[in-house]
Amino acid sequence: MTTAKQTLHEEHAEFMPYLDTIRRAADGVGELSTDDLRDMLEEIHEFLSHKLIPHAVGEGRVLYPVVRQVSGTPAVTVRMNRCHVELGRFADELERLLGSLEPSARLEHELRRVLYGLHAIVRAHFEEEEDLYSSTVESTVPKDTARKILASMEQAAHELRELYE
Amino acid sequence: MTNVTQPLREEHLDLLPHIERIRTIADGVGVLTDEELRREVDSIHGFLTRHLLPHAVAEDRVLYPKVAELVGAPLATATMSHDHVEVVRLSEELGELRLRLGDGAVTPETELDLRRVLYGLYALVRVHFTEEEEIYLPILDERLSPEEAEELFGSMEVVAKDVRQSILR
Repeated sequence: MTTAKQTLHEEHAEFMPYLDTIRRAADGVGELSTDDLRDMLEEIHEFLSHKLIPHAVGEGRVLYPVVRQVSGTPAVTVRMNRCHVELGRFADELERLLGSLEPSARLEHELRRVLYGLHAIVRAHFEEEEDLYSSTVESTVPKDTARKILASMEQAAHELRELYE
Repeated sequence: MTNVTQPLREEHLDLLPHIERIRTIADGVGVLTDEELRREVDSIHGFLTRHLLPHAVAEDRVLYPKVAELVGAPLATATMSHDHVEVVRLSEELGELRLRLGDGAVTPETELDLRRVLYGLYALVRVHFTEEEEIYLPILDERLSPEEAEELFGSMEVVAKDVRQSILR
C-alpha cells in the first residue's frame, strides 16, 4: 500500500535504492560472477520496465499536460518525453545484453556504458523534473490539486503495471 | 531550403568525434597503461574545458534566452540548462580525477570513478545534442530570418571566445 505523496521528490525518493543498484552493478562489471551479475541486471530490468517506465507513462499522461499549460510551451514536455524514450532504449539495450552474458571485454564495455549512462541520465532527469514541478505545478496550483495530480499519476502508473503483470 | 541553424548543427558534428572519444577512453580504463590513461584524460579534460563548456555557456547566455523569447515561455529551456550544470559538475569531477592520476599508480577506486564520470558524460551529452537538434533548433529554423540567425551565432561566438580566454588567463 502506498501512501499519498506530497511532492514529486517523494515519488522519486522511492526509486533511489534502484539507482544505487544500477551504480553497484556498473562497478561490479568485471568483478562479479556471471550469475551474480545476471541477478542484478534482471532486478534493474524489472525496475525499468515495471516501475520506472510505468511511472514515466503516468507523468506523460497526467503531469505533463499541466506542466505544458502552466509553462506556456510544448517544448518543455516534448523534451522531457524525449528523455523517457531514451530510458526505453536503455531498457531495450539491457535486455539485449541480458540475452548473451558470455564474458568478454566487449560485453564489459557495453554493460558499463549502458549502466553508468542510465545512472547519469536518470539522476539528471529526476532533478530536472523536480525543478520543473516546483516552478510550474507547486507555484501555481493549490496543494490539494497538486496532491490529486500526483495521486492520479500514480493511479495511471499502477494500471499500466497491472497490464504488464 | 537550408535551415538557418545549419551552422549550429555543423558545430555539433565537429564536436561529436570528441564525444565518441570520451567513450573510447572510458573503454580504455583498466586496459591502457597508466601513462596512456593520464594522457587521454588530460586531453579530453582539455576538450571539455576549452571547447564543450564555452559552447554550453554561449547556449545558456544567448541561444536559450532567444528560444524562450520566441516561444514566450521563460521555462522553455530550463531543463536543458540543467543538463549543462550536470556536464560542468562531471567535468569538474574529471578534473579532480586527473589530479589524482598525476599522484601515482591508478587505483581500482579511481578506475571506477573514471568510468562512471566518462560514461555518464558520454550519455548526457549525446542525448542533449539530439534533443537540442530535434526539439529546440526547429523553433529557431521556423522563426528566425537568416540575418537574425547570423547575428545570434555571432553573439554566441563572442561569448564562447570570452569564456575560452578567461580559462586560459
